[in-house]
Amino acid sequence: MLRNNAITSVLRGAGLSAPITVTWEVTNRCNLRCVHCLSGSAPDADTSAELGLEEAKAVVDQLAAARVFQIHFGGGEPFVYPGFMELLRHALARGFCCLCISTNGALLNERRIAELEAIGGIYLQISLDGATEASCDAIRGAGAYRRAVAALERLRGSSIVRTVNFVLTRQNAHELDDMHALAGRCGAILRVTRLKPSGRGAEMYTSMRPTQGQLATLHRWLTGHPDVLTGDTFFHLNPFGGTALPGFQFCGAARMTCLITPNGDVFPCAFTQQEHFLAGNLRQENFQHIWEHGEVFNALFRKKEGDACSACPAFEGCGGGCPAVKHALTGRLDIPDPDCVLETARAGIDSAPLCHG
Amino acid sequence: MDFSKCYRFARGFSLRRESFGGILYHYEGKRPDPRLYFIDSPFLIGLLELLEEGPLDELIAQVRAHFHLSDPQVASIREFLTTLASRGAFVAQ
Ligand code: SF4
Ligand code: SF4
Repeated sequence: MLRNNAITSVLRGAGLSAPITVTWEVTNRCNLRCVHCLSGSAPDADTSAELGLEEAKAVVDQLAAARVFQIHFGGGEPFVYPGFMELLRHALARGFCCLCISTNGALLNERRIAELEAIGGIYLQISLDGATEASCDAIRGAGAYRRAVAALERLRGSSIVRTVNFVLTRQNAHELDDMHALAGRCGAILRVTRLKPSGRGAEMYTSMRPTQGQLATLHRWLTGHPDVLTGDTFFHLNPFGGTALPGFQFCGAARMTCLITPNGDVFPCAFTQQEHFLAGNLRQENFQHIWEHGEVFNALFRKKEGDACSACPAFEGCGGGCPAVKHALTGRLDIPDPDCVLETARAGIDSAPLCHG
Repeated sequence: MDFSKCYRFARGFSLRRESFGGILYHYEGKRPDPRLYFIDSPFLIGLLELLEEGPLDELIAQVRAHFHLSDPQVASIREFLTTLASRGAFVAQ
């Protein structure tokens, strides 16, 4: 009901007693091989260490016991995980009322859509990284656009909540209006998210990273399109000024969310999958224990100070930006976001310097 | 809302205690984002945890006595419950 200081201090500091959402990459196998895939997933990904269905159900039980509110399944392509539909039914039976699934849509045939509708509580995020076949397939591979749009067509008339997920890049940033229209035509809400240097995205980051000019345009555009969701990934743009973007204005990793990988590793979020950030593994420890005692969570993510950003007048609105991007590009967490609006303006360059040594 | 009745949470609502009070989560199922109510009032959390134990009027009276609540505090609880009821939070038992 209220956002007072005590609440803010928990949200920005020690974190909640359990996540609001747990992101769970159930497999690294995928029928596509997108050039920017955050988890480096592919058709030939090694699945030998993945949690089996019974192990996965036990993880659902642990998440329910921890009173996690919702699960966001991703991958890879979650629908290629053997027993995925059974896992969804198990989660619903354990009381989860919202199960979000990030999918490329290729496996959403009529029968599966009917099954999902019957399960209930499903929210689909369908990835499309361009408003035309050419721009989308340049990122997601030949046929990806047609298959995703066909899935959206099949979903027309169903009661399943759905968004079109669009990762903004230098190459597709000019397509915002077209993406908005496309999502609307397909009965979906547009969800724009930030490209991050994770998985294959790390290799492609330099060439795909949006320019500051594009980010400024995006910020203005988002302000004028309150119906568009962002997954709270653009709060680092708030220092451009004007009304703050809706949602949380800081990183929720290890405070409100975390990631489970296919083999049960637990990380602060989907974009921090490096040994350095490993908090524990669910084959060895219980979820609640990892959430409360994970050393990485407590030492690196649960603190209110902004380090180099502490004295910045914009800190309240931007929280210092995304730790995953900072660390991937510089190996540090105590510096401003590499796309920091003020730093780049000060330096008069297109992107902030990657070294703050 | 009829405060003389006993209620439970409707599907889509879930309550969790936190150090500052608690969070009431609501996934409505018609749009992507859930609604989160950050509640910093221990008596309101206590009351919501007891929801199924008896008629609301009785629960409010218990919480009022336990926490020595003033009339305005009780009025704000009733207002909050009415708002939640208007968003479909409760099902009469
Ligand atoms: S210096 Fe830090 S707090 Fe200030 S705008 Fe840049 S990233 Fe945000
Ligand atoms: S580290 Fe970055 S990507 Fe991960 S939750 Fe925080 S802001 Fe989001």
